[in-house]
Amino acid sequence: MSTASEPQQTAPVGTPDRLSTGPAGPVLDIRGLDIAYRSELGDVRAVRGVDLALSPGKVIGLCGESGCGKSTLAYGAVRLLRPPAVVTGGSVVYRGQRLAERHPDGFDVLAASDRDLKELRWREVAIVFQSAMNSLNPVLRVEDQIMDGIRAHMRMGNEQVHDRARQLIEMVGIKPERLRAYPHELSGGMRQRVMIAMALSVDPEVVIMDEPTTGLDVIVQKEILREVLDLKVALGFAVLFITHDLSLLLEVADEVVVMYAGQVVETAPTSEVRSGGAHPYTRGLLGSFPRLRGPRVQLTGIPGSPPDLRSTAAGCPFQPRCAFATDACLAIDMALAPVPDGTPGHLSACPFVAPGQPLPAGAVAIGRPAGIEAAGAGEQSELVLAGVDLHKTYGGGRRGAVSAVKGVTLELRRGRVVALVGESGSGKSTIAKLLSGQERRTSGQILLDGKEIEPSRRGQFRRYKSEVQMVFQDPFASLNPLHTVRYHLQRALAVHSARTGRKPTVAEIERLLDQVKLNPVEKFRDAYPHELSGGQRQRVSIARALAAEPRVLLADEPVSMLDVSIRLEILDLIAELRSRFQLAILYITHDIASARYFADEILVMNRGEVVERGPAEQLVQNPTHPYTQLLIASSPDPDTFASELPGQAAVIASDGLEKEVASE
Amino acid sequence: MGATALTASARPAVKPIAVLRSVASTWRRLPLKAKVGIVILVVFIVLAIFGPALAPYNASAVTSQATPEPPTIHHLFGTDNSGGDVLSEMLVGIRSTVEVGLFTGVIATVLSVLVGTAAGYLGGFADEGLSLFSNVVLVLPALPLLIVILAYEPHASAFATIVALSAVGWPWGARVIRAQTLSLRNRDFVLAAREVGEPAWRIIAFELIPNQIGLIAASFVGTFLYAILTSVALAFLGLTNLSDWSLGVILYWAQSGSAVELGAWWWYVFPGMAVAILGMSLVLINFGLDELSNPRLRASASLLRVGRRSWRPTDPTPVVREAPVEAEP
Amino acid sequence: MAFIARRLAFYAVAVWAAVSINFMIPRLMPGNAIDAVLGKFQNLTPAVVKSLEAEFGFHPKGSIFSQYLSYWNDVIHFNLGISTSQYPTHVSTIIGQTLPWTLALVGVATVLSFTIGTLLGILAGWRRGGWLDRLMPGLTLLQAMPYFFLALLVIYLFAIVLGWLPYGQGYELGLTPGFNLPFIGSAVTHSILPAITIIATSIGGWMLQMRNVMLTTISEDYILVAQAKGLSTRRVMLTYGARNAILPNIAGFALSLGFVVAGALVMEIVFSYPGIGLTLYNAVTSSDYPLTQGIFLVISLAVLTASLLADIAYALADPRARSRSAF
Repeated sequence: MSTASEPQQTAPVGTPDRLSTGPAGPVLDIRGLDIAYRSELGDVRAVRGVDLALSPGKVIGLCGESGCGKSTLAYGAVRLLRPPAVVTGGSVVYRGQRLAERHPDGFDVLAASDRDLKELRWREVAIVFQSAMNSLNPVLRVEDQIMDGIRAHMRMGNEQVHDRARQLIEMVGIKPERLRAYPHELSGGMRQRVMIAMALSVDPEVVIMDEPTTGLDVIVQKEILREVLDLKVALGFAVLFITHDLSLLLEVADEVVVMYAGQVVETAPTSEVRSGGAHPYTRGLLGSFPRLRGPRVQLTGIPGSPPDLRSTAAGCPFQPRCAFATDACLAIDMALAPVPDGTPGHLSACPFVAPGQPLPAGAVAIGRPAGIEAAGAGEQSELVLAGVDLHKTYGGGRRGAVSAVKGVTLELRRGRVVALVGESGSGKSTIAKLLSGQERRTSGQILLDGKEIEPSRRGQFRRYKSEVQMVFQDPFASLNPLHTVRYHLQRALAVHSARTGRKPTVAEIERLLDQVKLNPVEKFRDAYPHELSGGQRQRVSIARALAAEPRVLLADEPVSMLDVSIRLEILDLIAELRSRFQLAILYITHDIASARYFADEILVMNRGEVVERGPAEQLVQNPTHPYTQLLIASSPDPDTFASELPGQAAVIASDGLEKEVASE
Repeated sequence: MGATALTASARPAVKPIAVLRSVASTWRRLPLKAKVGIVILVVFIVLAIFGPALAPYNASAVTSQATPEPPTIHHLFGTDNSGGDVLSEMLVGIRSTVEVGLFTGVIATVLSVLVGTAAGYLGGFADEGLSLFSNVVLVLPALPLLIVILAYEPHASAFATIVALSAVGWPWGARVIRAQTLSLRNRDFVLAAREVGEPAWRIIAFELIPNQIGLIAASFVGTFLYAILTSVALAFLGLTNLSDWSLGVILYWAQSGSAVELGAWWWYVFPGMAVAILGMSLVLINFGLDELSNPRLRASASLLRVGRRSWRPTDPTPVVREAPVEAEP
Repeated sequence: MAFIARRLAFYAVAVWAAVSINFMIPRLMPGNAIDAVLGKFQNLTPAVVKSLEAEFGFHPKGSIFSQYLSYWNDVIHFNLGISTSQYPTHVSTIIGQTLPWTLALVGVATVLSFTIGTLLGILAGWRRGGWLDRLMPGLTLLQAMPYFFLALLVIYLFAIVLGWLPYGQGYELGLTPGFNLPFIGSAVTHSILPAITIIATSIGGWMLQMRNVMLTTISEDYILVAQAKGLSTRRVMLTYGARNAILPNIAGFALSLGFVVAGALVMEIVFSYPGIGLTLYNAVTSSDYPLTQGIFLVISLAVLTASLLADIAYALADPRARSRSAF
């Protein structure tokens, strides 16, 4: 951390004075860029006429849901996409200082040959890739991977190259000894830091960051983002920051570009987005994620799913999902125009909706079902499932045992949601496996209706399953691609029909589909999983769990794989089912903000132990354990820059780093 | 409603038309290579069934003739050194060659599915033991082992050959299927089926094996090829029953009758080419199955679409300034 | 290294299995093997028959377990019995004479084939749609050809019709084997046709395997990173692409060696090349069981040793091998 906060002293790499002397225009200027994926069924137009100008030393945040074209735009602009991708129009001009003499009119990226592009790559435009695990060559030492980039672009002696690699790795907070390591010997956070060191190794003017912290825990994410911003100030590069997480951009970006269906729908200074944005899609995104600070406001999601990019229909592609939609939307030309009365540089593609215009009624909303909290009598509701002093130890043998869960006690009551919050490796998913009977606990008790039960035991498993069902994290993996929706539900009904008294009939299947709001049921009944969107699959998963008519639902990160705008709908559905069937729900998540909205009680887990527990709102507002405080401080927050807890944060952060190292 | 719906839904009814349609759609998705391979293979299977009936001469008839005769209008593929018609010998012999390949393919594939799925699904000691066993069988040189076994059982019947070939032919498939089972076993949909309360046999039969059909087919085709080449080699060495015609036996007589030195090319070229073409059909089918399961292997179509004939991974994205191709309605 | 230790344990089991199979086969087979052998020696007195039986190890004494132990003892001392077809030469002596021929021919041809096939596979996978990539299907069709059939064609074309190269035997008759130029020259020219045949039948397999792994590897993110870094095309192809793609190929080499060697042995028979394959064939046709078994044992051990070497090469080439399971 100290290296990151004093980068000028430890980083002779770079030219911090670039900002003052740099040209006034954008360093990377993208105009009207069109990119298509050629397929037998015609072109998939992934990027359509996008303009984007990146000024020196600035951070532009590029945001949108999966499939909106944000990554295609970034990689296509530097011509890193492979067939069947093809650039079909527009221009990309790079105007860096180093190339100013040789290319006075700028470097035309789309006209450049393979050889010309070598000049641009890494030296001028470097990239931090999304998945650091797959982005590092597994058979080369870290130092070789940093040094080959330096050697390719700078004339340096062997000794100098080594020195530079050492400086770079220290700059991102890793000990130089680790240069000799292979990628698989590093933790996820360290790999991402290596990636950043590599990207900065030849002093580029533009750094493209493609979801650089996705998959990392919030505390590590926060540290890395802070380092990046500090380095940016010190070295003066510009950043194109790509993410699906708008709340993250509000913390790091100077300007936000929101894409939908291959087009830019809004470009705005970050402050304008923070205060609400102009385009209905931006507003939908802002209303989709729960907040940690301030009062609990009503959340509004975005119903439906993104359009088919093959379509060439005119008009606004967001129209079918838009709360403000009118017939006029189908005729408009999707062009960015200045927002009336907005700040300069604030452009929106929607001519109809003004910033701050109130949402029409009927937008999807999540709220706590009335009555439960008001009664405040959760403690009195009937106890269904309890885990008492659960322990789980993996392994043994030479490598030593790993304690994943160390003495966790929790109680699930009818109609109540308990959230289990923790980072990866905290043991929260192990709890789900123990409670669902997928794995056997090392010690402790599981009580169903007060009676001890061994869920993983052969004779008791099926009875236990009829009471306790589970919803999986990844809706794309939890349905067998070869079976229809009907098959999945029919099997679940058939297995439990003796107890529920419900036969696996078409009528029952349709009833289940109706319960999870997959209407019209005839359309979904015979569909195969690949014909459904992620949200629809997750609904099928939930319907399958409901077929057993369970009293307990274990939901392990049920929305983390879904797009932001879909998450709310699914949580809303689970909340509704909870009050309708008085389900006891264990909601396992890494996102404490969603737990605040969804759960009655929160348990915070760290390294196998529950470090703090309490009523949701109270725990978030007044966390007492340092770890909870750090977790809350690290979570991205759309409303405010995170308030810091300097003393404790540093202690636990360095501790966290050790944990990362140890976990590998 | 209830009763009919139950029967209709509890067992997904197999409608013949639907099956035909799915076969037709699978055929259409197959790469050209696989189609060519399948057509050739079907021709050979037809010959295996009707070949002996079509043979113009009695294959085992012997006229006392000292030199093989080159192809004539009477003997299209020539004759061997005892006056036998090579074409007739081949038409009779294809049956036993195809038989050995087919049965070995089936038996060895069943074995590899059983061992591979059991090892992958059960895990633990069962996996360690079965994997060790299959790897040991795999790494031991199979053909010398077969030669040694058949040395004690000279002129073995086709049945003995099939048993011996199957006994050493299953481990490769078992290895591949085990790896696939391991990766499938921890997929969420298998865990979810267990969550539903499905019994283990149902998970194996309805969740795991259907997802491995491609692999099992590839394993079958590979074993088929291995069995044909090995059985032909064993016959060529004179280790199988020489009074039963097969393509390998013709080649054995050609070799022992010094066909090469005599320049009687027709005696070994026609049966040899028959084996090669049969083998080629299987290689082509496996090529096609590979491409079907791994789309990365057939990128050439997408290259043509972006106007390139060849492509290196480091080439920059092509820039084609033209109107986008519209989707067909 | 745990990986190597586990592999060594595996090969120990494999060697044990090979020796045990060899021990069991003659005992499981319905046998008039003794009569077949003794039939060759006409007019023997009963005393000679008895001593021969003892010498060949027929009608062994003691429980099956003590036979097993004494068999192991013999194997360890490389005492593989006496050949019946070349009586009274020891099996180990015959193997000692023929094995070098095979090692020189099959070993060199296999290593050449693997090396060239892998290099061509790298190039074919690197340039999609290039001429090498288009040539792929044709080359792999050679795999479908019975190896001995190709050998017959090669002999007919190059040795008989064109008369370019000799075939049959390992060297010109009348030359003295040893380190003299005429002998070595003759041995090399005699090995060219069999070597070409071995390479032609096996190269397509190595090439296809390498190309397919290469195609999977080039869609890895780290290749994209290497491209984004502006490294030379050569470095991306070799250090980032091929360096990773070759790992499964080495592992595959260890496992498929048994298949390849088997094909090469048949080749020796067709070419009358004086290696261990031809000797095995002659032993089988003359019902020389001790020699047959001895050769099978030696072939197994040779293949296992080569596989072990390939595995060690794999462990050295892949830094992650340590943490991986062995099977």
